[in-house]
Amino acid sequence: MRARLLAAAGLVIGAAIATTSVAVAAFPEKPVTIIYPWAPGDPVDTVLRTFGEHAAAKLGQPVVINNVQGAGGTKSLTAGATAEADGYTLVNNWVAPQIGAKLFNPDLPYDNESFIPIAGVLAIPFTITVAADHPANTIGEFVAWANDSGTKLNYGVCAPQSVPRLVGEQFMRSAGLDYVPVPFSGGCMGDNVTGLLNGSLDVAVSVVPATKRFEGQVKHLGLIADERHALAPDLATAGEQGYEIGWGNTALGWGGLAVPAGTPDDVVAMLQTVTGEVLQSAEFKADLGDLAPMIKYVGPDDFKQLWTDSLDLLRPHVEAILANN
Amino acid sequence: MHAIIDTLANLPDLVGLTQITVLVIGVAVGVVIGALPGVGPLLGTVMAVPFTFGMDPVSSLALLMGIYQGGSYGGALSASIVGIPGTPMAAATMLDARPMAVAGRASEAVTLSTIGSSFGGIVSALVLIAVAPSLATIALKFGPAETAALALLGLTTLGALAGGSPVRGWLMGMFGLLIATIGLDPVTGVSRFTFGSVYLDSGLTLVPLLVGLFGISEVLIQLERPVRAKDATTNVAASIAAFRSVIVRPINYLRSSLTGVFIGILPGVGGVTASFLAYRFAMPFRKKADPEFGRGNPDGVVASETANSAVTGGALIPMLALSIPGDPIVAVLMGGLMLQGIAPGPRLFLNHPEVVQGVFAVFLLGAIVLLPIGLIFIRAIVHILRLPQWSIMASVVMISMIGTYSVSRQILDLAALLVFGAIGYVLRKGNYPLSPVVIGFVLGPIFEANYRRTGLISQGDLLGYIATRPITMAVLAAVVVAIVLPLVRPRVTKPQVGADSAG
Repeated sequence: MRARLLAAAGLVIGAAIATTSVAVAAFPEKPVTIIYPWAPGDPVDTVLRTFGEHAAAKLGQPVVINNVQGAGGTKSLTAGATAEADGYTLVNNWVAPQIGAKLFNPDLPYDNESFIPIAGVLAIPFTITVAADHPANTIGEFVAWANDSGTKLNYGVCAPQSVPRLVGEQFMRSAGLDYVPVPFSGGCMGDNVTGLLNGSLDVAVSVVPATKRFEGQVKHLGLIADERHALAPDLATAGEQGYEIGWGNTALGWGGLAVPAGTPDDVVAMLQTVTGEVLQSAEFKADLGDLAPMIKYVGPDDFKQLWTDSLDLLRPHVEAILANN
Repeated sequence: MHAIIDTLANLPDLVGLTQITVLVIGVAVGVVIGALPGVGPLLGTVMAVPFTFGMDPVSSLALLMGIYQGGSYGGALSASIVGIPGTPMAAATMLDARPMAVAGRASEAVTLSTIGSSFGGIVSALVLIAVAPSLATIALKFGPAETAALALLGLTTLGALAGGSPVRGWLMGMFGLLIATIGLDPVTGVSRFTFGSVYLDSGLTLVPLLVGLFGISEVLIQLERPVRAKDATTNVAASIAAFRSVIVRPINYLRSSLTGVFIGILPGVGGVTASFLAYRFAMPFRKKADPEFGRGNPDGVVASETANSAVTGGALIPMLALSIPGDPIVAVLMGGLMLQGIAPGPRLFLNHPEVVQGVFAVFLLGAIVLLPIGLIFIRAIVHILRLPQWSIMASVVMISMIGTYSVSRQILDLAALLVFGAIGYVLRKGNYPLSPVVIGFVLGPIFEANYRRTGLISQGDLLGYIATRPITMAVLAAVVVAIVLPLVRPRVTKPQVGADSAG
C-alpha cells in the first residue's frame, strides 16, 4: 500500500515537473489571472479589465480578473505572493498594502522581495479637500484661515494605516498646521468626504475623482504631487502654491503589476514586454476614455526602485505613528 | 405629492418594455439569490454589473435595483421554510416566521413576508419620489456622534429580543460585540485578537457567522429532533389571512415602512438594524389574540420584512442626491450608474432629470412586481415542504457552504462557518437566543468606530461636543427611555423561554 502510494506520489510530482517545463516553453497555454484588491466595478477594476482584453489579444489567452478584497488590500498581496510562480498569476500591487501596511504590520507574509515587477500601471495623486462652502479657495487661504481660527483642525483620513494618511499628514506638518487625524473607512472618496459634508471635519485627504462624484459639494485646494495631473489639469499642486512636501512619486497612490518571486526569467520578460506594449499603445488609452489619465507607465526597473524608495521614505513616519499609538 | 403624480403620469414614457423585462428578471434573480443562504443581494448586484455595460442607464439600474429589492425579500423564504435566514436582514423575520411555519402556517408566513416587502418597497419608493432631495439632508445631519447614539439605541433591543430572558439576550449581545472586535482597530489600525492571522485582520464577516450560527446549527438540531415547517391550511386560506392583515394592521405596516426608510437614509446603518428596530417597535402593540412575539406573531414577520425592504428606497436617497452610498449594495448601484457616465449628486437632478425620474419609476415598479413574483415563488417553495427531511438538510449544508464560499472565495470562511455552526448548536442546546449575537456583531463596529471618531473630533471635550448636537441628545434620551421603561413598567406578559431556539 505504502509503496503504491509512494509510486503514485512520484508520478504526480513527475507529471507536475513535466507540465511546468512545457508550460515555460509555450507560455501562456492557459488563462492568466490578475489578482485585484479593490471593489468590483470601481475605476481601477475597469482599467484592469480593459488592460486584460488588450493583453489577451497579445498573449493568445484570456486574462481573468480575480477579486480578492479585504484588509486594505493585504489579502490580495498575500494571495499574490503565495501564488505559484509560473507567470499565470499576477497581482495588482499598490503602495498602500505593499509598503504602508507592511510597515504598520511587519507580520504580513510578504515584502518587496516577494515580488518581481512587471510594470507600474496607475498613479493617482492625493488632494487636500474641503467642503464647497469653505471660505478658502487655495492652500494659502486655508492656512491663513486655520491660523486665524486658532483651533486644532479635524483632519479626515481615508484609513488609519494608509499611505494617503502619511502623505496628508506630511502636508499638514509642512504647512505648520495643528491637527487631529480622524481615521475613517471606505477609501479616500468614502466616509471622510462625508465627514466634510456633515461638518464633522475641517479638511480631508482625498483624490481627484472625488470632484466628479461630489460635484458642487467639495472642492480641492491643491494636489499633493510634484506635477499637475491630467485628470484635473487646472488644479495647482501644493508645491506651486508654496507648500512643497518633497516626497516625489512616493506621494502618489501608485499601483502596478507584479508576479511572485521565483517566476522564470523568460516568462517575466515576456509579461514585461507585453504589458509595456499595451500600456503605451494608443488603442488602449482610447478604449479607456475618461480613465486614461490615470495610467502612468513605469518600466520594471524604475518600478522596483519606486518600491525601495517608498519603503525607505515612509518607514520613519510609520514608526512615529506607531510610537504614538 | 406633485413629484409622485408627475412620475406616475410619465410612467409610459419613462419605462419601456425593455426596462420592465430587465426589472422582472432582476427581481426574480434577486429573490432566488436572497433565499439561498450565504449569497445575498450584494453578490448578486456585483455579478450583474458586467451585464449592464451595453444597457441604457435606466435599464442597467432596473436590473441592479431589481436584484436589490428581490434579494432584500428572498431571505424571508428560507427563514420560514427551512429555518435559516437567507440574508442577515431576515434574521429578525425568522423570529416569528419560523414558529408560524412550524405551527402549520408556512404559506401564511411567507405570504405575509411578501406583502410586507412589497408594501415597504412601495412606501419607500413614494418617499423617494416625493422628497428625495430634501430628505437627503438627514443623511448629512448624522455625523459620527449621531450614528454612535443610534447604534446604542439599536443595542437596547438586545434584552427585549431574548424571548423573556433579558439576561440571556444581553449575554449573547456581549458575545456578538466581543467577536466583532476581532480584526484591525478602526482608529489605530492595530490588529486585535488576530493571533498573527492575515485572515482575521479583516475581521470575521457576517455571512459565515450568520449561516453557521443559524444554518449549520439548525441541521445539527434537526438530526436529533426533526422539526418541520407545515402547511396545514390551503394556499387560498393562507393568502386571504395574509392579505387581510393589511387592513387589520395598517399601522404596523406604515410604522415599519417609515422606520425602514429612515434607517435606510442614514449611511452605514443598514437593513439588519432596521428590521430589528421595527420588530422592537411592534412589540408593545401586540394584539391579544396573537401569539407572543417570538412564538409566531404575524406582526413580527410584517414589521421585519416591511422595514428591511423599505430600507432599499431610503438608501437610494443619499446615494442619488449626495452621492453618499449608505451600504455596500448601494455603492455597487452607484458604480453601475457611474459606469454609464452619470455622476450622482445634487446636480444629477438638474442635469439628468430623465434618469432620476426613470430610476424612481423603475424602483416603484420593482416594489409592485415583487408581490406577484413573490407569490409565484411561494407556490414553488412550499413544495419543498413535501420533500423528505434528509434531502432538505443535506441540500442546506451544501448550499450554505457553496454560498458562503462564493461570497468571499476564501476557504477559511468555511472553517468559520463550521465553527459558528458548532457554537450555534451549543447555544441553542442551552436555550440561548441567537439573534442578539447578530445585533451585537452588526452594531458593535458601527458604535465603536463612530464613538471613537466622535472622541477625536471633540478633541477631548466629549460631553461639551455632544451638548452642541441636538439630534445626538434626542437619540441618547431615547436610549435612556428604552433602558428605563421596561424596568418601571409592570410586566404584563408571562416570561417565555428561547424565542428563536424554537425551530
